[in-house]
Amino acid sequence: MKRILLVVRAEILKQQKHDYHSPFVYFSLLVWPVLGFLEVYYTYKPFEITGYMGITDRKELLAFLGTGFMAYTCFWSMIQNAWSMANQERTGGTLEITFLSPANRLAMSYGRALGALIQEVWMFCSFCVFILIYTGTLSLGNLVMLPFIFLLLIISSTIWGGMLNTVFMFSRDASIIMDLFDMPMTLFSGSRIPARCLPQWAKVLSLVFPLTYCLNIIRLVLHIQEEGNGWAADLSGLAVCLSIMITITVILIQKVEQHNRENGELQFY
Amino acid sequence: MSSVVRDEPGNQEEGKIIARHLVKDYILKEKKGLFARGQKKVIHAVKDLSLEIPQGKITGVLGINGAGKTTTIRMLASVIAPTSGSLTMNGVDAVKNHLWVKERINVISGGERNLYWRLTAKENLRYFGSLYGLSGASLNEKIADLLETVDLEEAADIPVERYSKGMKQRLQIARGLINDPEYLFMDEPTLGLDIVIAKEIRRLVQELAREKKKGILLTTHYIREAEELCDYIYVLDKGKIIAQGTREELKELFMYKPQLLIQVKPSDDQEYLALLKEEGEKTADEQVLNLLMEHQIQVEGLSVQEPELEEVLMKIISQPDRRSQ
Repeated sequence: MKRILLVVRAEILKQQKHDYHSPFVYFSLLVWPVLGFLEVYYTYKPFEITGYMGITDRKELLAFLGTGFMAYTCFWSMIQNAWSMANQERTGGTLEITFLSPANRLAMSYGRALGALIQEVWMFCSFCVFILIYTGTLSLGNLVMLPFIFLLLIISSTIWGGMLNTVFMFSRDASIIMDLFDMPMTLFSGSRIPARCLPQWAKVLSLVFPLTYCLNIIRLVLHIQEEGNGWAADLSGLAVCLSIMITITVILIQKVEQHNRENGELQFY
Repeated sequence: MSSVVRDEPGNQEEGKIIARHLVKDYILKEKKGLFARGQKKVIHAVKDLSLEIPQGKITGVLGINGAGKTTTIRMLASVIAPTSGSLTMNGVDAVKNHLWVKERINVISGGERNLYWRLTAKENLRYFGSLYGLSGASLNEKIADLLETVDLEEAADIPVERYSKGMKQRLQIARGLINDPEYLFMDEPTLGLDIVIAKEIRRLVQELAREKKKGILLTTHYIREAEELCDYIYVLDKGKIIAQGTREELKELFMYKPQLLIQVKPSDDQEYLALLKEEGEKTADEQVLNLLMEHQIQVEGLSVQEPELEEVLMKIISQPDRRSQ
């Protein structure tokens, strides 16, 4: 266990030193999500709030988008990081060198995800927390729920990110995942548009994304547009989703090792 | 620490890596169109290779480009698995127990890859050390030790991207030693380096084998390097061992003979050529010089040209009777 934790810690530190070495990086990690957030907010603003979306005033809209963007950024940063890190590691030849070591492959995969998550989202998450406090969604009364929300997001995104890291280790042509997950996740998981506005087929599709369950739970906890299926259903849905992702990761990582031992493809870029 | 079951190791298998009849085939899918079904093509990268890497010795693998050197090194280092044949390390099946093997080996390649360029030397070594379960004071001590060994103490906190090629190569060596491996695989470690740095690296390689008793497998393009360092040499061509021998047998094996180039005044060229013709073209260097002095032909320059490895290997390849197999 000590060795696994050492690998995770090493991956987090490596990510921090390698990718997040300049204040400008953090600046862009804050500015772009904020611009995206403002774009959606001001797109909705001219339209009359009728309660159709379960949102009854402007502050509730801000809180809805604040939670949506916060959770979405956590998940999206995992996709982006998995893609860029896999490219860098392949090109630099370090991917194969890490596989030359006896380090636990799962720890490497999840460590990379966790490292990226911590670095990429903390600034924007702080902004979202400010929005939630501003709108009165977060108050002294329910501030205790904040660690729970973060824990939920960290665990779910790391498991999601670990799976994506493994996919990119498996194939250098997996960049299609960026397209497969970006728009569908934005559209169906309820980060910007409430899932209740979607047609039935789209609601079914939204169940594929762990982000959907995370958002339902977070909004349920914060009493924003309570549209989820209830605690038990959403938590169970998330647990099933995460279990499937862990299983896929374990199987894929074995395939990566086996595949590399047969063809030596981790050296290609 | 992973545990392994030894397949009745004999004493003769202790302290060495033994490869027997290793074969590595790659299967490529050749596509003739975007949507066409790929046709499988088998590439025989290594064919029936048997060799030994004893601890405390430097074993050389020589070969021209495409001879199968890198595939051999990657197979022996358990990066890739052989298609058939057996591979043991200290009597343990290295194919079945590749993670156990990975604890005890490391690979150093020539070139500038395999390092994180934005990280400093210390950060690189700390990261790679953690992958081997090292931490805390012992890791810091190890890093300080290695940086001293490769003479990078002063550049320890500078990002690798600012290093020269030689410094990167020295850091590669430190990375390869971070887990204190019993066996070290060095794939052309002096490739593209200037003479001073290459000499320094060769000294380090010798020290690792002689003093630290590491088993070293070295691939190189340079005959001189192989001659200077290797205790035993295997020559590969098209994935097969075509010649092998001890360091002492090297010159005989390679028909190795440097050429003396003598530059004379342009006006004297004809005279010099005529003289040589007279004495026969195979005149020894000493005799040629005496001859020139006797005839008072002014020498403008002297240089020793070493034969290209390709050239020498081509000679071996074209002489089937010299082959050991």
